[in-house]
Parts: sequence; structure tokens; C-alpha cells
Amino acid sequence: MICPGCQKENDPKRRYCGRCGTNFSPVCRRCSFANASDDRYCGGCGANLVAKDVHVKSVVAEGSAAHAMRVPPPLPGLIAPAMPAMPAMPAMPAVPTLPAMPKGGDELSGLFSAPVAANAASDVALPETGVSQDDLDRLFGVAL
Amino acid sequence: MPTAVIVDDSPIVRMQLRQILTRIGCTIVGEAGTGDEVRALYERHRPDLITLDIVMPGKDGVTAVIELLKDFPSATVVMCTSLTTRDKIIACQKAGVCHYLLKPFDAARAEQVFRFALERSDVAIVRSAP
Repeated sequence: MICPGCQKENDPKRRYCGRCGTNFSPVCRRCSFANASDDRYCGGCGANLVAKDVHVKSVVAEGSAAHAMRVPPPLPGLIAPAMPAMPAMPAMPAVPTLPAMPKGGDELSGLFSAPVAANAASDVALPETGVSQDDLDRLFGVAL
Repeated sequence: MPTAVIVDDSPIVRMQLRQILTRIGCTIVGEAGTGDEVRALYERHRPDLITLDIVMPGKDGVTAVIELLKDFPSATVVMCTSLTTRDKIIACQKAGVCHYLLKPFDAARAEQVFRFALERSDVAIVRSAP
């Protein structure tokens, strides 16, 4: 699968891009409709998926190259100046539950590959230099 | 009474650690000045706590603790070192080290760390200093 955000080739089993974090199957927060990764408006209710993607904005820094790829400027003529009022949504059918993933299977190993394990260590709030005892207490989970 | 092994190439630091550990009720069952002796000391005494320096003659403390915890994952090890290299700290954490005490340490802080380590390993310790 080619990421629409950064063009990286990803394993088809992935739900998020390994390089830029693009969600390959964004689910609408308003109606739970499963949209395609490059959809900008929800196929179920018409909600603006890009504008509502607050999480993406918080993760990808404004002005960064990744941000520029993830959030393209609005195309004139494609976005209506004002969306018509949406009628009340009918009750959505229950979302079918996914089959249970086999524990320790190849599917899971694909999701938790080496880059994720490396991130686990780098997520620790440990400064590159000037490590203090307080930093170490936090790292080792001690409240002294 | 909990038992402890001290591994540090500095006799002065070993003496400091001996005093601190004794004060919280530990019996020092072994001491060494190189990482090569860690495994043998652990197998011989099965201490409740090991304090381990990193920069030492022979085998360094990180290599020694990785090897020890691979074979004895229930061992309780506290690194006592002045080394603040991020890679070494992360390597110790991944190996399963209980805590990492920076030198120079004050006695009160060291006591807290050792008490924590012994509590984590479910060893009864002296709750208050005499």
C-alpha cells in the first residue's frame, strides 16, 4: 500500500503509515463511516475529515514537510463555501466486530516491528545529556 | 535479613555502599572490583540485592548485568555509576535493572533507592534507620 501522505510503501496489513502516521482507514468521528485514506469528506455524512483530524495536527508540526504533505491547501472550487444543513442522521447499524487476532501471529508481529520497539525506548523522557537522578527515578518508575 | 553484594572498583565507594546498606539492615555477603566476578558471586550467595558499577576493569557493568539477568531474571540489581550515557542507561533498563543510582550520591537518596529495590523484590527490610 502506498501512503497518500508521503508515498512510502507500507505493508497492506498496516492501519497507519510507518513514516508519517497517515491513517489508512479513517473512521468518521461523527457517523463512524469507514472512509478511504485519501478521502477528505466523509462518505457517510459529508463531514470534513481533514479539518476534524485534530490528532494529526497535534502530532505533525505546523509548517513541517510532513505537515505540508498531510494537509494540502484547499483547492478552489472543490470546497463549497458553506455546507448545507445536514438532516438528522438515522440510527447507524451496529458495527460488526472484527474477528479476534491470533496472539503472537504474523499479523501482530507485522504491527509491532522493529521501528516500533525502537520508539519505545526513545519515548522515555530521558535527555540526551545532563541526565539527573530525577530523570532516572522517572525512567525506572520510582516515586522517591 | 536481606543480603547484598557490592561490585565497584573503588574501595572508597564500596565502603560507602557498605555503610549505607548496613544501615538499612543488609548483610554484605560479597564484594568485588570487576564485572567478571558478578556471576560467580550471585551463584554463590544468591543475594537479595546487587549494586553494580559500570566502568570497571575487565567486564563492564552493563555487559555483566545483561548476562546475569539473562540467566537469573529475578536478581535485583541497582547500577551505581557516574555514567550518564543514554545508551547505557537504556541498555540497563531493557536488561531488567531495578534502578540506576548516579554518583556522587548522598546517603539518604541511596538509602531510598536500595529500600525501593528491596521492597520490589519482596524482601523484608529495616523500615527506619537506627
